[in-house]
Amino acid sequence: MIGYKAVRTTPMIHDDLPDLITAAKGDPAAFGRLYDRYLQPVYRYLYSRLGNAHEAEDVTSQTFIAAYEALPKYREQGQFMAWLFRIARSKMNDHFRRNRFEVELDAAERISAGEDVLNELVHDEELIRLRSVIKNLNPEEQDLIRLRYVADLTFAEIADLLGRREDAVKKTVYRLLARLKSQME
Amino acid sequence: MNDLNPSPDFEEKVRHAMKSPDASPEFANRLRNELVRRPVKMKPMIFKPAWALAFMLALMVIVVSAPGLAAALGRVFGYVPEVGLVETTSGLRMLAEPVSATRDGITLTITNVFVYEDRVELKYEVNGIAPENDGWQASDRSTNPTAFCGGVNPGDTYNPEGDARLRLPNGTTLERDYTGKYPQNVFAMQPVYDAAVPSDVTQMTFALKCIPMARLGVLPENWELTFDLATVPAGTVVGEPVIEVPPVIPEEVPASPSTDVVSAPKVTMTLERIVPTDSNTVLYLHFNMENADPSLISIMPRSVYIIDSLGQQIRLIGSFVWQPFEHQVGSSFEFVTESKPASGPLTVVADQVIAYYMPLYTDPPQTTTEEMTFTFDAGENPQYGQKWDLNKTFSIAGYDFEIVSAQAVAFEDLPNRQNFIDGSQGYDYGYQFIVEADPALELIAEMDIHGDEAQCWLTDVNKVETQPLIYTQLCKNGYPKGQVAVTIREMSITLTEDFKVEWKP
Repeated sequence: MIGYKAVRTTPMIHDDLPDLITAAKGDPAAFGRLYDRYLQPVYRYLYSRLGNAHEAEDVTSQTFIAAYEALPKYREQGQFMAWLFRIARSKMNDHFRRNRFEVELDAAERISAGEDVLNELVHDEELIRLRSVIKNLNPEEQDLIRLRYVADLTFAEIADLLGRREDAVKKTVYRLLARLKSQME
Repeated sequence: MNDLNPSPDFEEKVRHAMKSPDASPEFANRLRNELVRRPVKMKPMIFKPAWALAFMLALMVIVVSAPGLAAALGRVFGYVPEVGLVETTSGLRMLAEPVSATRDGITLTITNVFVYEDRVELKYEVNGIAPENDGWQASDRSTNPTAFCGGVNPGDTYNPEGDARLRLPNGTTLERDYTGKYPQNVFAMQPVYDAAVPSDVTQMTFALKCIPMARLGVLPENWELTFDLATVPAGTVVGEPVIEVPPVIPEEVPASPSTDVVSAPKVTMTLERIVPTDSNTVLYLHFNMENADPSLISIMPRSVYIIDSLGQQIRLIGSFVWQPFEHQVGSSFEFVTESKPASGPLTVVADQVIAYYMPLYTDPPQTTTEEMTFTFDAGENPQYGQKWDLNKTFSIAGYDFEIVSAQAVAFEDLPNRQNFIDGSQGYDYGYQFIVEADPALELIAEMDIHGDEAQCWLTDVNKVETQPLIYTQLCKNGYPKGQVAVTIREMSITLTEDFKVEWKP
């Protein structure tokens, strides 16, 4: 677990989000602040699906440009994160349609192993096994794990994104964790 | 760990096993700069005076100079992402290849140039500007606007310092067009030049004194880039192929906000062109209002979507006016689907369309300033909270509305004050007007308080569903005193019917 606490994402503050969204509808600078807040979760999620920085940057760019252009029509109902991730997933699907392949988890793992922190951790046998077990989940289950543990979305945000009830999402994720844990034992 | 109670340690392990790297600072900064420099394609319905003036100028010139409806048949268009339609019916010259230069970490790239018979359209981009030197992001952008290239103090005239110029081999210099002939020429990095470039010109030089809204004296200035032009033969498609949709007789829909005294105009929506791309579909829609009141200046779709052959509803984004050479300003629009629709037939639906009226600024004007002006006696010492019953009735295009009251307010009273991220900017006091109309109209009237001394400018428009409109304008030097005159500048109504067009490939 070396270095983990140091690199963990800081929880995001959402209190001023409605005001920021309203301002961003007519002001590129205010949109810049929204971008600052959401860039990393979106990028990390796309990276974990695409497996390399080049494509993750490309699709991240498309996501924020589309969000910028669509923002005037966005109606704030507390679902901004879900709305943004819906765009990100749509752009990613477009990307897959164009390129006709999807990077598997271990490919992403190989590429991301260049990161300093991961270099230390990739030799951790337990983590390698855990990745392998996660890789055997079906794509929807893997995506749930990504949304929760890579993008750091709350259960409510995932529920909004997937059109499901929050408690159902929570239950599904926790059951997945229980399954993963039992497979690790 | 039971079913609903995973151990935090195991969650941490999963998080760690799935960990992905953060975006690099270089990428994060580059994309941020690109985003904050992108033009706002769909502005709220608030016209600030500078915009309003430019819009009015554009409108007046176009109404006079529009060549009439051009024959759509036989015209050849291609679609270039980030540029739009490129017409090659008569051939053109275009940028042979992008050219760029990097100085002190700042990269300027000319991405597109199209030389038509009567004009030159250019697009360039700049990357590498640090936020503190970027006039869109810097903390002193509002307090010290003239520190940035092209920046002006409120009330000052336009500063063309950041305008790119084009130099031809014979020494002729082309200036960016401001006559309003090309209303899309509102973005400094997408200038249009109203000039017929000699047919033998195959090279030009781009000259820029300073990067628009970049901090002066800090970043490289006096840029010059020479670029080559390639000839595109007539009929060649540049970019993605465009599907011309044959004209059909559209279903006529009476505009919804009809009252007993207004004969409803007929609104039609026409799908003119479709461009399927790898990732989305681009659609060109035209709105027309027959027997419209002459004070109508624009019909703006606010909410549009398509239903594809699988029944998927996909939102359309964009909604900005495209080359309006063949239509009146603000009636022809480019939209892009939020995701790629299934192939096959499409149904386009617009479920909210706004009609804008500016009777004072059409050519010829449809009314006089006196007829659109009301006054009230604020006295010599107006006090915060003081209220005046006005009950002044106006009618534009047959739609009646009443200015019910005025009240002396402060910036803190603005319903949407959080929108003003720079705060009051000194516009602290002014008047708030309550405006009533038929709730079905969703009518918004915009107005200006007279008085050079008071310098009234900052405006807040608040219309919540069927509630009366709350319109506020604030001033710099306290409350205007004595007989305060206010002129109605613009009025809009919402057409609530669904406008539909079906397209079959």
